Amino acid sequence: MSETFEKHKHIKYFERCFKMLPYQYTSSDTNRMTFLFFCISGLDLLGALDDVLTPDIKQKTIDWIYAQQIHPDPEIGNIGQCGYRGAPFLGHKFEPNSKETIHEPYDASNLAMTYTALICLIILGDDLSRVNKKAIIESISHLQQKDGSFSPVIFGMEYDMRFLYCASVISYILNDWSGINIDKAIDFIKKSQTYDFGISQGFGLESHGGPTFCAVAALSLMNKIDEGLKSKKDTLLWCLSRQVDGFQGRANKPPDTCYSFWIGAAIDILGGYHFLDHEAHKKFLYSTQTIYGGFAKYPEIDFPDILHSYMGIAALAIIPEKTEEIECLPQLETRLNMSKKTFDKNFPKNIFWNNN
Amino acid sequence: MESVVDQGWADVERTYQDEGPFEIMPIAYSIEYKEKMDILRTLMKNNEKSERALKLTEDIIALSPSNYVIWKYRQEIIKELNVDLKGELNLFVEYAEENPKCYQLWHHRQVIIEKLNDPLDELQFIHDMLQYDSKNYHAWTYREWIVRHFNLWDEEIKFSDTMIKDDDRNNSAWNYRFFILTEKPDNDIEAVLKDEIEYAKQKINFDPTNQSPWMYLKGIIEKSKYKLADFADELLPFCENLQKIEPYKYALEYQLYTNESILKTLNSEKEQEQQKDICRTICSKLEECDKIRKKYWKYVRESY
Repeated sequence: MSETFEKHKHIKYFERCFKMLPYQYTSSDTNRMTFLFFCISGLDLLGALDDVLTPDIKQKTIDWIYAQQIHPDPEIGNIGQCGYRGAPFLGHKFEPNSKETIHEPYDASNLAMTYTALICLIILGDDLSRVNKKAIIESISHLQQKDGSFSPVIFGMEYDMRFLYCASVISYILNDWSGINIDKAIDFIKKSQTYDFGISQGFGLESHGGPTFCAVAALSLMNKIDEGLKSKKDTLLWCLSRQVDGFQGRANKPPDTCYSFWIGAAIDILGGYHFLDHEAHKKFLYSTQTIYGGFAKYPEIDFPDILHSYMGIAALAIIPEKTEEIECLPQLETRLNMSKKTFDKNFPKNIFWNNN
Repeated sequence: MESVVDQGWADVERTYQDEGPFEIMPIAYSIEYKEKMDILRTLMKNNEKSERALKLTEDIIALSPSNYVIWKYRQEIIKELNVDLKGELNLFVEYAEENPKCYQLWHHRQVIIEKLNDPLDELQFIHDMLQYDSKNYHAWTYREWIVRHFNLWDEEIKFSDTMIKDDDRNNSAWNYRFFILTEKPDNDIEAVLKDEIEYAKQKINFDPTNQSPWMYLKGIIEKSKYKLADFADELLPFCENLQKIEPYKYALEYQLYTNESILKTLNSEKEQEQQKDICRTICSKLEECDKIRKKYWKYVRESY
């Protein structure tokens, strides 16, 4: 709808989301941690985190995140279940300082929630001192499958590239890769590359922007891009070919806001971002902004959602040469999907890195 | 709202969601969802496996279909109560129309079919689902699983053809065709290669601006024991004939890949230099024809 970047409307949008998400989000009640990540990282990229969250609210947010952590159960040993839940939906007690969790049926961590919880803590300036690293790393090793992929939770779910990425980010942040069999992970990534050199969710499936980002970012965090891609040049070309004005996630699909991040970030990691047509790209992204602030998936949709709102802003933050209207956006640390400036400032405080 | 207490829950203590002193990213739950979750939490804590628990999981799945924990609980109840598994498949149909991209719904269906150990009429069912969205990634993923798990490869090339005929820009269908041809037990790519090249050429002739058959053409040749250069005599003139009136970027790209493939076969420096000139000329054309990627093609041109 707009022809320029509507920074202030977006700040208002995330501020409203932080206060309360509308009823429709009930359908993803287990994923509140990811919504928190979109909101906090979005406000941080917009330079408004400190204005919207007072130091007191920040501390309460940090405590809320820690209250979702599942620690080892001293009695039964809940191996493979430690890490973070997305929300207190199972009714466990609010105990942000606990070091043990009494196991209850169906209570298990989810890799996507652990990943977003850790990123949120870093953005909020926490030093991760309450993170149970040992338990999380041990759990990760139980979530890796025979083929190298990962399941998000211990009780078997879909296994695909998304969770391989989550496990990689967690290992990177905690500075410990012992929970991942890297050879198997690379093997899975290799097998998921298709005949067009894009990357799919798993062997035999169609190449797709989401898993392409996940695989490329995971390989980069492992420092294994060259070992993991059959042809870096051809994967880059597959990504570049997805630009229509915005980006499509798959060949012959319409452009969609979130692929400006998924594909754009993969291109950035592969070192090809300067090849893109930034003007056409920005014009598309501005057209998916809504009058309520935030971004929608497609230009013709009138209402924003929190995922596309965050991805739209993160995508603009990747652009290295910032025109005036997006000058306010800091560079993105694309592999972790957060502000590079915040990463540089807060990441060294992380106790798993500063002790080394 | 109908009160859930009247439905026989008077004996169940409520377990409330504990948000601590400050609720972070709250969702505006409906009263129905809140009350039913308060009951469900207690049932899950006690791991109650009963008819009423089964019913309650369905109520909540209707409100929150992505809640994987509740799906897991439901699967445990089903196991314990010996619920009719085919009935579970209807549950999917009820919610899939509104949530065709819900991972948990598809996963549940796979779990049930695996337990039944019978592919039933799933191939037809997936075909029906693809009528709503012919590129639904979940549906294609599930189809590949069914075909592999139950060894149902025989009719699938025909199926890919049906889907490509419906929409030749359906890249999922092209990918599926490639999957069937290359993964079918005892497949022999070299034996079908000629037909597949013809197939792709036919679709390209129909619409040279459709990237899917171009990628398929390149992919299937590279998957065989041959190189693109081996088909240069046939496919370079094909590309040129297509472009008698106007250039097509995918045709130019294909010409470039083939010429790069030829370049690798040349030994003398002079021949290589001539071949590089051909590549550079194609890149220049791409810079004109594929404007959005002109910086990339310029870079490729300058890199020879």
